Amino acid sequence: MNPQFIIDVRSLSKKYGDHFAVDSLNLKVAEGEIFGFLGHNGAGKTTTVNMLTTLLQPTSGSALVAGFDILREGVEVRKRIGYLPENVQLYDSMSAFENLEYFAKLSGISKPGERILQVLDFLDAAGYRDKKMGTLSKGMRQRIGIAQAILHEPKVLFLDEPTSGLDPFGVKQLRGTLLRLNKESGMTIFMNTHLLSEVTKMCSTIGVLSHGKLIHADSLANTMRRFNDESSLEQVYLTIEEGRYEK
Amino acid sequence: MNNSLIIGRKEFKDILHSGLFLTVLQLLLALTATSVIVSSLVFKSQVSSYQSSFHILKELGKQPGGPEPQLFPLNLLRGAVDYLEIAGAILGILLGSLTIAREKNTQTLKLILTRPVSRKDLLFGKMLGNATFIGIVLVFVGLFAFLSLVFVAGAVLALTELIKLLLVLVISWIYIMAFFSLAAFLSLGMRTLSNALILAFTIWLVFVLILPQIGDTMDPDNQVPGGFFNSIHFNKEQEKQVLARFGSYENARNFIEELSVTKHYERTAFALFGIKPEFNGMQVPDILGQKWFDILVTVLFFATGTFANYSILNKKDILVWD
Amino acid sequence: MKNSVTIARHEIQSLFRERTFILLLAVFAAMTLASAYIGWSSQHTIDQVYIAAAEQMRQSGKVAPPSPFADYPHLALLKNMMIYITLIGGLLAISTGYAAGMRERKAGVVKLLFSRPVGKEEFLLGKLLGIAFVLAAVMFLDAAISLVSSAALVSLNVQDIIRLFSFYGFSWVYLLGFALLGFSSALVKDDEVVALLIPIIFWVAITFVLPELASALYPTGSLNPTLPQTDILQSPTLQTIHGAVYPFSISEHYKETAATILNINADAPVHSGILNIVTTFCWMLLCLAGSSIAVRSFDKTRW
Repeated sequence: MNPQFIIDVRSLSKKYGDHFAVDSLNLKVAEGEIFGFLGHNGAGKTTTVNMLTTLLQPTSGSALVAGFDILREGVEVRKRIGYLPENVQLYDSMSAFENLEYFAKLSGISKPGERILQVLDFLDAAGYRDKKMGTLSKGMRQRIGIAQAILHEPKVLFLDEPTSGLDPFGVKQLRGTLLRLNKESGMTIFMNTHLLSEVTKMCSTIGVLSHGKLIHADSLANTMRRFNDESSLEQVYLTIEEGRYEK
Repeated sequence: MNNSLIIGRKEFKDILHSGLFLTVLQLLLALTATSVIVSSLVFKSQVSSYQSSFHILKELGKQPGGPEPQLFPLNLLRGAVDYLEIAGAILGILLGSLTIAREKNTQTLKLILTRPVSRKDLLFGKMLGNATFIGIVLVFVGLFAFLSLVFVAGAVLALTELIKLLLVLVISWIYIMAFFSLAAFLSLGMRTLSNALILAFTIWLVFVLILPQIGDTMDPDNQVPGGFFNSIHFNKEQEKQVLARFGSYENARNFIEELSVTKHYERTAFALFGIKPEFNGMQVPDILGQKWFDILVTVLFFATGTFANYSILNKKDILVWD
Repeated sequence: MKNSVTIARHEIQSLFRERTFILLLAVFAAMTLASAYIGWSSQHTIDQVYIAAAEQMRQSGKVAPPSPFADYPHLALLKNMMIYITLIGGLLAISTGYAAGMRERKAGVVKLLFSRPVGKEEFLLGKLLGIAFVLAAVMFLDAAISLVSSAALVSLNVQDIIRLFSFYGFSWVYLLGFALLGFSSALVKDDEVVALLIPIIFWVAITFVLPELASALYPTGSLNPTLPQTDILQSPTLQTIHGAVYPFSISEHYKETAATILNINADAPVHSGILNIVTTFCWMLLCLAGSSIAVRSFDKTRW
């Protein structure tokens, strides 16, 4: 394994019937990066994350996450990742604290009380610890969702459309949190997203997936330089996607 | 194992917190009490009608025939077994469906499975929590049955009878868990939860009600109210002689009954409670020895359900909860 | 009215596209087909059993009593259908009503629907028409299957055919009650599973618990179409309970009327027949009133 790359994907494919949801994907993400994974709806972003988080078995190919093989060393991979799916709700009838306690224990933290308080403090959500999940706003739920994903101090954090459904204030707050996490603990963040403005403000590297194939992967700075005619990432993205369609 | 315990504990707490299950528990207790009360009233009326005809015959100077009906307290629990067959299976189906619904609706199954938790831990954790709950419900039902027998029917239970009661509770527990695993399996495998629930109820209908019902209505003796052979004053021996000539029909009838796990459960429970008179005086090991096949089928149904859940959870090339 | 017809048509279309509905329907149709054969085969065998028993009695010098099975009415071979209606029919009706009540909620179109010029009354009427039509179609299908299968086994006269269709018509009234119960529950209960559980608890109570209380029938005993003898008359307490519970024991009223219609309950007194019919209709109307209240209290902005 190459220690610089915390995610190393090799010819990873997932096929449903005759259709390739992900087609021979090769991708490397260096430790400490915030990686923005872009693509149209149905491009295969969520399927990729499902495979990298060991939820889904690839049809072929392999990948190393934090130095462990997703096929053979699932448990070791899972010890080192945090994950927040799109639209996660957590258990409505339980309080924020109870939810976090449950997931902390399942991550192997036997006495998680102090750690939970620490994380809630970090996320500026300490006041909500005893509130039932069902009574929280979307933004606050998302923060508790992040809390459950970072409780066990994972090396890689996978986020699937983390800003979906949040108001501008919530988006800003989430951005601040993720940048802080990345800066203070060096956590690698792998983020599926549609929101290009957020990618510009946060990500160091981007990858563009189209119809299951990776059509572009580079640092954000290089990408912007290569397409210097374009005024915004949105224009760059559309150019990349359209180029793909022309092929 | 530790993970299974964590999941099991949460599962159990969830069930206790949902008010629904208090309702189911109350329903089962009420059904048990109803059946004991009705059965003991029927028994008392049988005794008093025996006694009145005894006196009439004596006054007429005739010798009364037949012994006075004798109370075997566990016989009074026949209705309770019927209810466990029907409502117990419903409870199993609901728990099995809810345990998956809770995770599917909230996407939390994805969160659990991206922890260092194996799918085996998840399955055993869920089963552990639900099995504990079902066990506690059955302990209450058993206690309630015992108290109803003592206080309503005025019965005194010997140690063997208590052991028989306990064994019926154990076999009921396996039976209900079998339906739990069936419903959990369908909820995992099917896209829409309510469809899975309705399918589980359809299977329940066929196994619990229709197959035993067909077998029952095909019984020649059941064609006349009060029993055909009774109506022509045939005893068991004569009945056997006549039915011996209809071997293939009786075999077909028996085969249909054999298809239903409920019938196997019922046969075991009825034997232990002595509903069929020949089992009344029998020792527990002898009853179990005679009913080993019925017990085996019930256990196998449960084991198959558990294995099916394990297989579907391990089938990683589909996201079964999406 | 036009809107109601549109809703009803949509309901019917959707139901016949649902796989679980089709599955239940298939089970029901299969059991209808089987019931005639089971009835015929057990009747045939029991005749033979009687002959064998009578012969044995004659051999031992006793006089055989007349056969209790002589002059069996033609439709007696359908007697299991009364039970299948209460079991499979009941569940089919509940799932039909439940699906109708859940449909808009699950598709997330409640607000869309009511942002059109559609009133709650039209919604209710449309759903009712849809449910009633679907159940009527199911009953008609069953009647056709029964007619063909019984005609293949015994000879039927015109009166038998009229009786057969009346039986399914009456069963439609009984089942409509369960469908409306499922519909109302799906409208008022937030939790999907609880919404399905409530009509099922009612169904268990009506099919098993009330007959046990009213007539001291064992729960599985109520599944036998041959109405069993019970010992309630000897016990004053049981008689009192019977007096209080029997009027509400809807499934018993249904089964008794059904048996009378099929002509297999010849000795039933007329006054009890009227009580039976009135109770079954009251049950359906009560459920109808329940549906009306459920629709009126349905929160259009909730889903």
